[in-house]
Amino acid sequence: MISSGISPSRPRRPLLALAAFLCLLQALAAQIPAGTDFTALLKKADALVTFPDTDFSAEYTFVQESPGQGKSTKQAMVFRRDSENTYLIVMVMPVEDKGKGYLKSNDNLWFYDPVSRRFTFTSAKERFQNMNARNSDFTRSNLAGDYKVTSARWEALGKYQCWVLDLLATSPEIPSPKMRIWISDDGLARKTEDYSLSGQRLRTTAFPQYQVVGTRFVPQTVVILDELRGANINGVFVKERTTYTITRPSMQSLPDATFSKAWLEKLSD
Amino acid sequence: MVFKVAARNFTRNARRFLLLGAAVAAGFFVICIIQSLVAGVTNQINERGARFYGGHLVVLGYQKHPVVSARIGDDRPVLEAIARSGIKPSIVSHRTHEGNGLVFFNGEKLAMRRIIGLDWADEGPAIRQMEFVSGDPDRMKDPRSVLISEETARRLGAKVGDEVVLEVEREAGAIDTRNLLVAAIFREASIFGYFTLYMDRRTLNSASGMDADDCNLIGIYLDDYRKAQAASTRLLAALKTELPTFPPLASRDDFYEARSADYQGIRYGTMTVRGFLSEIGTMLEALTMVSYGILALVIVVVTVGIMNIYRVMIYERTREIGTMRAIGVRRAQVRNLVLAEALMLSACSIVAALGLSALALFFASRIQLAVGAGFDIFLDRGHLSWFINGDVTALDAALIVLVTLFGALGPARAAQAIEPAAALRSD
Repeated sequence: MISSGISPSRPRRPLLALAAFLCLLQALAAQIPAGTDFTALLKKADALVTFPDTDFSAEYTFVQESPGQGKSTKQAMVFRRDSENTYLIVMVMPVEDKGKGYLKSNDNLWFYDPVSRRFTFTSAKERFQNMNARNSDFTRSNLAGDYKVTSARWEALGKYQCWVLDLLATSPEIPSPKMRIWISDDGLARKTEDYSLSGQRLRTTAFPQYQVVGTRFVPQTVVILDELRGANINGVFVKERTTYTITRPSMQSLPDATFSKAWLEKLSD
Repeated sequence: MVFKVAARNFTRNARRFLLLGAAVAAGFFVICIIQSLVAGVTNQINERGARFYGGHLVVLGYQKHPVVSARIGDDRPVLEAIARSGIKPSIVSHRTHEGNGLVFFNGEKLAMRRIIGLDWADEGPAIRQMEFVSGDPDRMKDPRSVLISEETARRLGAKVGDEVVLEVEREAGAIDTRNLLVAAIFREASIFGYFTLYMDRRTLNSASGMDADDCNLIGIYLDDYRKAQAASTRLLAALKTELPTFPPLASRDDFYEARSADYQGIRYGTMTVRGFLSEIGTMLEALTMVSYGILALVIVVVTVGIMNIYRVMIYERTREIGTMRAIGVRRAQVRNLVLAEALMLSACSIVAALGLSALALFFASRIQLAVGAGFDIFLDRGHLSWFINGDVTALDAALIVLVTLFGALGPARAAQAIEPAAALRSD
């Protein structure tokens, strides 16, 4: 008997087969074990890099790479008190930016210019010192409060096995209404991608290494790639990039006066 | 008979009147030039302003609660008010204006001063009047299309057909983006276009989080911008019968003050292009006042000049007048003769000045002026813009004629008083 491989008598159910295949694909992709609490995972990721019971200070060194324009380096001292949702940042390098500062107190954020000796309101969404970091990147992490998980899958990111969570902002006030985050099995965020509402990727942030400070973690290096800003170099689109390293982290308590306009003015003198 | 003799005297002794005629013509020429330029600039600003603001006259809506925003909401009561007001719009536009937005292309970024969402089906005929350097503005029928300025294109390195990314920040802060295709590139280096972007209203609404059919304002294009103020008053009265309104708004400051009060719901107001550009309007009014100042100066100079020259002229023509009187010409006829000559002098001077100023303006407007962006608002595609306003010119001409007659009246009376016998005895 010669068979053509297609039996005319065998019933074909392509829709059913396609549905089964898609279900299988989805199951493979998501691999969400029953009972996995992703909100708890986000809370853990927040908790590991937040300092609710101590103050935090460190030296941040930023390297801005703008394709075709070269590199520039800036340095700042960052002082954080997460329990009061406040921070103070003062620029120490380069000379022309020395003394410029930011003071965040709850929802208010002021920028201080030592030349005019004036404080002006600025926004957490604004770019920090015209780099690819935002002013909001220096505040405490609140992923669990700002986002809800819409989907999840388990995948490898370099040497890390990560949960990849698609997040949707819970409030219209969150600048990145959509986010994708890679959280390794130790609970630390390893990579994030910020998206606009329409799904345009705006920014990719990588946290390749963390340093341990007491019982908490602080990234050693953060790499931010701007997905829209850059330049065509020899026909290849090269993105703008900000890399910042955090050194001399400390959890020593700071005087209350640290988080005040007066102190920022004094530092700038 | 008097006019016939006057015409003969005027043509046969043209040299006698030449200097005086030149003086009158020079004065009228200066007035014509200034007023035509001011009228041209005013016309220019109003037409370009109309394309920028959405019409020669716009209805603004503003709400304070639950969020502060410029919005019209339900447009039906506004459209009904326009119909009730008796205004005959050439176009009624629905506009969404966004103040903040970034455009990205190939890694380059540019902050836009204004993002204009419009309905191409309605406003296409008006927007097509802009100067396009490349592309086809009619591609704006596609809701994913965008019109960008030449300066924006240059800075981004974008061309027609390229896809740019528009990033807008919603009222609450969330960021949204739209990928848009460059349909055409327009040339507009003034405040009306340097960093302005035109796109589909519904596409912009969806990006900025507004309802698809909502808009910030409803604009009205008129066939003559000079009717805008009267139309604004009538429209406000019509709006007031059905909707809560602001008091009359003469400028943006008026609008800011009116909307600062706390109130519920949406309030509506009307504003003309002149109101939006009150600073420029004030400057143009100042220029108009300067032109009237010059007109006053010309009047004084012409009056004094005519008086003096006519006195000399009458003195020189004593024997001629005496002869006329001796052969039976009456005193009144002598006076009318002198006045008729003055009338002809002024009429000829005005016609000559009008022709010369039109010629001068025509040639001046052919010159491509390379000026800074700040001055471009006064130019039409880089050229001087001018417009001879018939009503104003007729009024100026009538004034010059009256002044000439007034200046000649004294000498004419002196001429009619000349006694024939004494005149014939004189040298």
